[in-house]
This record gives sequence, structure tokens and C-alpha cells, in this order.
Amino acid sequence: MVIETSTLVSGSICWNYEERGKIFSLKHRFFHKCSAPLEYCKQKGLSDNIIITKTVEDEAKNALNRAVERTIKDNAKPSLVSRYGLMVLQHIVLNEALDRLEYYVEECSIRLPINRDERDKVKTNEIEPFLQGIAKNTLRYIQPSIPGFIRGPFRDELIERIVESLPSKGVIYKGMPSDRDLTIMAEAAMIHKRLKEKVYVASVDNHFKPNPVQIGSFLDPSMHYTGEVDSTIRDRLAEKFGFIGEDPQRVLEIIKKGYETKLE
Amino acid sequence: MRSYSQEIAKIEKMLEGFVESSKIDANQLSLMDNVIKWSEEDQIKVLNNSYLALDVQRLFFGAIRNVNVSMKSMKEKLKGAATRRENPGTAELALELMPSFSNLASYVDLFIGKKGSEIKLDNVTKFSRILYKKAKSYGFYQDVASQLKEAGVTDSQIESFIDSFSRNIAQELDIEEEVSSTVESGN
Repeated sequence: MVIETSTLVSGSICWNYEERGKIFSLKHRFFHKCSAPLEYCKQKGLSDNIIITKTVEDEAKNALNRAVERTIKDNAKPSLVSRYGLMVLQHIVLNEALDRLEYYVEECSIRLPINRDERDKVKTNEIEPFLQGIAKNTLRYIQPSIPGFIRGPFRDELIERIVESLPSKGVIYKGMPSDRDLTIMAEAAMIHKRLKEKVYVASVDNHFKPNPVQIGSFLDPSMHYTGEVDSTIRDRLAEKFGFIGEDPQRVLEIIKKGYETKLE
Repeated sequence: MRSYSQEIAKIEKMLEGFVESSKIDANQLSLMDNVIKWSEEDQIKVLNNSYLALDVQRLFFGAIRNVNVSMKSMKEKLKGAATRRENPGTAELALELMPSFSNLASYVDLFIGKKGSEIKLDNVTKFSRILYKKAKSYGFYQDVASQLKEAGVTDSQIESFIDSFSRNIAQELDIEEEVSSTVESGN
């Protein structure tokens, strides 16, 4: 399993502080599901199956640093006392997050050598053009073109029908991934080539994992998810490059199943 | 001109003396006061330097703070050990930490001496983290509650930081939109 940046960052943010009975908690909403596969593998002696590449580690640290800097800017006040307090706070919180992140890197995972030239070639010549080809005709969400005067149960039923007709109505995908994501995909592809076995990429980013089917835009008050996921792009990437993007919770289930089967 | 490296060399010598004589002399611990005082002042100086980019400001604030918090905590631990007339186990641990102080001190000296352009920032990050991690594992790092109390951090400041940081992390990872679609809601 390859850990992707979003998983490493989300699994690193868990800071709790109690003062006079008041509890302050800074825990990423995905903390549990992102830390669980790493902790499980460590506990069961399976950490050799987890890979955190240098790119992912660096990117995760950069993401934490950038978020901290934005937070400082958001909370900046002219008073020196306030600025000092803010700097002390960020220093404490960032160090805690980095402690956890480094624990995952050093104690819960391994690293394979990656030839950077080869990786960049895979990224530029294979992953990027492939994704450009398949991602251009995708949708971020379904916006049923139903006239505004149709309301109530009939509208809902119409929406349901449209959704049912997927994927012929379109493929749901987040859009072209960033350069950083493409690099991680190239690394996962190379790891698959080297190991010659299934490689899961544990990610909470929709560029990697199956995308939830969303109805309506984020600005639409009736925006909702159907509960289904569209794995079209993920599957095509898996078929072509051998890495399977999946939600960390699902990856944990797969690992557990594999481990239990092995024991039987 | 102040030199952290020189002061740390003096402290190292003092600790060697403790280990050799198997006794911690509390009267000598004031030798650590210069580093503690300077690092308190220099944290503020870094904050007041508006010419510094935020990342550089954070880097040196953190480095100087790690020196301050570890040295202060180390002094307290040594003082406690002297009072209890413990064998110099605490001094031995403190001595082990000195190379980490020295490595970082040389960069802090360059920075304070306005020779910032000669500094490799990655090295400061690396040595600052090493000092923090070692000091923490040896029990020479002030606990969070005391740090926040000393710094006068208020509840509302913490709450505002948490809100803002959570938002910025979501934005950074670009997964904000997926909140309600996930299998697990977290906490």
C-alpha cells in the first residue's frame, strides 16, 4: 500500500489540550480512518507492506507548513503579546503533527528507491497524457437540467432517474490532478512495476479514489450525495498503471481480510 | 557580542564536571541563565523583524524557542536532581543533548549576527527538529500547559487557531468538498 499525501496529513493532525476542565481538540475529521491502516499494520508486523515515498513525506510537511502560515495570517493582530502567543501555539501544534508524521514514516512504513528521471518520464509521457485524455469529458457533479417550476416529489423522482442512468450521463471525477498528484501516481505506477503485485494507494483525495456521486453544485442548497461512488477513472488508471486508489478505510478492510485469511 | 555557541560550550564543560565528580552543583547552574535570557529576548526580536519572510521568521522563532524551552527545562531538572542529591544521571543525559544545542547554536549565532544569507535554512529546520525531539525524549522539554500559560495564550486564541487551521488544512488538501461524502465522519 502506498500512502498518499492527504492520508498522511489527515492522519497526523490530532492535538488535544485540556485546561481547567475545558478540552480543546484539533483532530482532522479523517484522522481515525487515515491513521488506522498505519497503526494496524504496525501492530500486526505488516509495516513492510506500507510505502511512504519521499515525495509524499515532503508534500505532507509542506502542506502542514502552508496551512500553519495561512492560519498565522488569518489570526494576525498588531499586539506583540497576541503575535507571540500565536507563534507559540503554531510551534506546539506543528511539532505535534510532525512528530506523528515522522512516526508513520520511521516506524510504520518502508521506502523503496525511486529513480527520479524515470519517474518524471512516466509522469510526463504516460500518466499525464493518459489522464488528459480520460478526464476531459468528466463531470464534478450532476446538475440535472430540470426547470425550476418542477418541485417536490416529482423533481426528486426525476433527479433519481437521471442518476440511475449513470454512467451514460457522464463520468464523475474531480478534474485534472495537480502536478504533485501526477508525481505520486507515477511513483505508484513504478512501485507496481517493481513489485509486480496489486498496489493500493490509500487516499482521501478524489483524484485517486472513487468519486462520490454528487447532485447539484456546492452553491445549491439542495446539493446532496447519492451514496454511490463512480470508480470509472480510478479503474482505468488501475487497469493501465496497476495502482488502485482507494479510501483508507476500505484499504484497511482489505488488509485485515488478507491478514485473517493468511492466519487461517 | 552574544554567542550562543560559546555559552553552550561553557555549559557543556560544567556538565562534564558534574559527571566526572558524580555530583550536580546547583550553584553553578546560573551559567545557563545567559542562554535562557538571550533566547527569550531573541524570540521577540524575531517577531519584531518585519523584514523577514514569514517562513524564515517561523523557522528562527522555532529554533530559538527550542533552545529556550529545552535549556529552561534542563536547568529545572538539574536543580531538582541536585536538591534530591541524585547521582549525575540527569547531568549525563543533559550532556548527551549538548551536541544538538551546539549544532543549532551555530546557525542562531549567524542569524543574530545578521549573516542570514550564509545560512542553509534546511539545516536549521533539521537541527531544530533534532534538538526538539531529543529534548522531549529525555524529558527536557517544557510541557504544553506551562508553555501556553507562560506565553499568555487565551482560550479564544486557541479556539480561533483550531477553526482557522482546520479550514486551511482542508483547503490545502482540497478535500473540503468531500466532507459529507465520506464513509467516516471522524470524531
